[in-house]
Amino acid sequence: MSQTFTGGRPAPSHPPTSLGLDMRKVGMWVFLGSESLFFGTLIANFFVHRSSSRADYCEGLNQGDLAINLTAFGAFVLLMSSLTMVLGLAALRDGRKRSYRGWILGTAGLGAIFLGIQAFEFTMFALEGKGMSSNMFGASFFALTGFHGTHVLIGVIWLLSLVFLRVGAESRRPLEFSVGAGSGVRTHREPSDGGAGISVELCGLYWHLVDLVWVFIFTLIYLLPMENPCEAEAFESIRVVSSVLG
Amino acid sequence: MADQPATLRKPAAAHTHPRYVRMAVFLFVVTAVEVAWALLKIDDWIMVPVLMVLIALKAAGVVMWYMHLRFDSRVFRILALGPFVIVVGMILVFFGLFGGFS
Repeated sequence: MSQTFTGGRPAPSHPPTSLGLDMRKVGMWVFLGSESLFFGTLIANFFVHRSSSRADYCEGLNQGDLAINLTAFGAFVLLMSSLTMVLGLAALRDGRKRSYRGWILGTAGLGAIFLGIQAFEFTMFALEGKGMSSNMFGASFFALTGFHGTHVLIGVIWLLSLVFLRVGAESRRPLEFSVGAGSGVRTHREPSDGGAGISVELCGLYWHLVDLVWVFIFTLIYLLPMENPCEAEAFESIRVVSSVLG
Repeated sequence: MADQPATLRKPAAAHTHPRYVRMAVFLFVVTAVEVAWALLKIDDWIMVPVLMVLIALKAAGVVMWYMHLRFDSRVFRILALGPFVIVVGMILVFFGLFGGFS
């Protein structure tokens, strides 16, 4: 850590690494990889179980109950929150602190709106008696979307901690390699943007993963068509009644 | 430069003005198309592949632009793509074993 070539800037909090990469960021990507395995398992679980209990499918939660308009709005909100997140990081790197705080608070606000939409949706289902134990569709649906909602909540808390508690506000990225032209000698230099904002960048990566997971959940769970046994049942009832009545 | 590690080829600040807003508009439009397409209630054989392509477009937009994989080190790309390939493989195996397509 005894770097003397920082040009009067504070010494970096992370030493240069053999890869030239910030190990906190490497660690975050490994964590995000494990998270994607987790969510992938829950999505696979949903697809296997969504229509496995035909007997109680129609009485419990089923695809016909899912409100596409509401969740489409939630999807838009999350996508916009990803935009505000990257704009916040860009503002921090440009040294526009006030703008940075505004964008990050905006991101947290959009995350809170998404959570409100999900809470409303879950409450409506609960009031109709269509809970997690109503059938396998409900169990796998609530497990997946609830797990995602918990991630959004953690993300909102993390974002607020960046602004109000200034968690990691002074953290800096490691020195970058540069290779001397012709000589091939490696030297280190300060990142061109000063290296600020690694903690915000890590939070941003987490937040974008939350958005990315919802991209998959929204389409696979809400939009992807499935055979509706309730409609088939209703059609069969009508056919039987019609045949009896001649 | 041929023996230069991949991580050295692109400095972290190679992207000075990424078009974040343009990407947000793109994602907004793709989501709108996705919802409209799903509401058309057409046959599954055409509905499902189109939805998969739209998911891939949105996911690539978020990962490459917002998560900066387009500009960042290849190490991060490997760390991101590895688990993704495993996840897709696992889901396909699950579908094959337990009939998740029904």
